[in-house]
Amino acid sequence: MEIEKLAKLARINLSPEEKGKLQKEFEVILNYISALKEADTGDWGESFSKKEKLNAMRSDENAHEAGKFTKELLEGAPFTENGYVKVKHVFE
Amino acid sequence: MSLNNLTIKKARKLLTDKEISAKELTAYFLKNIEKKNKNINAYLEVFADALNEAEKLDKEGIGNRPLLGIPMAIKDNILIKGKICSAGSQMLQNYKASYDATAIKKLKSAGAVFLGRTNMDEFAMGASTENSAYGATKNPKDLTRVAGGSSGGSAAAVAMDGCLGALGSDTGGSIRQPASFCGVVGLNPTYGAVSRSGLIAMASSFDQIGSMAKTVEDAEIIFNVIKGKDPMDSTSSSTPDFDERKLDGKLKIGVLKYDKKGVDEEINESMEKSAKIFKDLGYEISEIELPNIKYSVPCYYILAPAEVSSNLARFDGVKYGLFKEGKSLTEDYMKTREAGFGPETRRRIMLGTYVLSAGYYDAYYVKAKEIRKLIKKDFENVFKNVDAVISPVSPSVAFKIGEKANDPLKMYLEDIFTAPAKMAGLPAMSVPAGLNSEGLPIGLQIIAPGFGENLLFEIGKKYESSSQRS
Repeated sequence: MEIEKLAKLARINLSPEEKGKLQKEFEVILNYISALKEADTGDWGESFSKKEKLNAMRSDENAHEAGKFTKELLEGAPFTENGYVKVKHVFE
Repeated sequence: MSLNNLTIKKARKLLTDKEISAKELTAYFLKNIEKKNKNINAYLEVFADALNEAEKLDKEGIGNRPLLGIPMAIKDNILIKGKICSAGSQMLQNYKASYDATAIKKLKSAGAVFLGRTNMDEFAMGASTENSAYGATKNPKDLTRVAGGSSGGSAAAVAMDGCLGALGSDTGGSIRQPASFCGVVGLNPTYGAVSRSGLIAMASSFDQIGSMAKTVEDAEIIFNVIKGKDPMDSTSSSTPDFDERKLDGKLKIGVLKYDKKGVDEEINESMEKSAKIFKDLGYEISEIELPNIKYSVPCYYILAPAEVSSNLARFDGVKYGLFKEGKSLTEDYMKTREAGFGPETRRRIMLGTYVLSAGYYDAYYVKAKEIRKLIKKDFENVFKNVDAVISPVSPSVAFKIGEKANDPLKMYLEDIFTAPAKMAGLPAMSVPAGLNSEGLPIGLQIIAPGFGENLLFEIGKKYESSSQRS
């Protein structure tokens, strides 16, 4: 398993030591959770899923006035400018 | 007047009879915390305004709200507006909540006084609070042992008489296992019974806020305040059946059949004793089997990390929390998440990323979702014949600090009895079942059908009074 690739997908920097440690731990954990593969779900799971509740929707109305919460929410952000959250360029 | 062994019920009477003021009551618990918290580390922060809030309530005059003047502890992942809420993580060390969780709003309008925020495993991932960025919580019954987790701080706060009740959150067992380790009552409500709005998300299809207290009745009082449908959480439900289900005293209780080899001998003996107590109380007792629960833990450790990897993507150093600078935006993310998340959080995010990635999604995630339904079906079948199920809460009593800290899989197996009810979204409660020969608490788990909290309270109260006599 490619710990390196996973770390990139998960957007987490890992030290070389931690990569090695995770590699070993993952082998043990994956070996354990692979016990699921022997469980017989047949096609039964499929039929059961149809009864499952789907998304609960609400109508898109009664919006609060624009900017009502902006100041409070921006207080948590590390960098802001003119009422916006500020980040580095996405495309270089 | 001695305030030892006070319960919410008793405290409310003292307050109503004006034998004590809310301020005096709060001062008593603040003093206890000052004395004990240094060694136990149940509270991460004691709120400086607690005494003032209590005084305000005194001035308003004692009314009849259910938690008026009652000092409570709140797990560090439930938002209280204006207070820091860190989820036991470096990532949110300085994060101030910008709104109240719905459960907090309800506690406020019921008149509760918040004493402080309690320690927890980082982002509620763990079974010992050893994953907290702020040090482990020690078990008040034995300071060399863990308090359990992830709501270990809340459980210890109740057990050390550092509050009258607490909120915790349960995703795989995080209320029930610490309650069992510390000898208090812990309720994991039905999925949807309590709004999750304002609870920092770990695994959204499992997370539930619940109550922790000294007695079943107190846990019930808190639950009745925080329950109910909330427009801010579309998975929340109103609970019309709470008071309507018939309780005729001839309830049937199923005793879970489990592999006794992996469980402390004294816990097995305690289970047999509990079954006898229920029999003597007039309940019909039978042994029940849940054929697929052996898959609960592997299933949980696929689904929960998958949801974790998605939920924790929001911590990127942009909107709130820690920020570590890199050379590009992507590097900002990677450095921030390296510095902000502890080892277990990183492990779970990586594991979740793995089971959701192309090529593994069907083999792990889809398969686990199907098995979750099988477990749900197992419970449905069992509840055709019995009204409630009893089982151990944990395979062992509180373990030594450090004993399992370096073996993630060993720690995951702590959830073996608590994960099954979560698979099916069922309410389950841990009640104290006495002490083992070393004086460490043992818990009994009672599981009911969905929205059957009233059954848990009914059965739990009867058990509580009988087990205390014997």
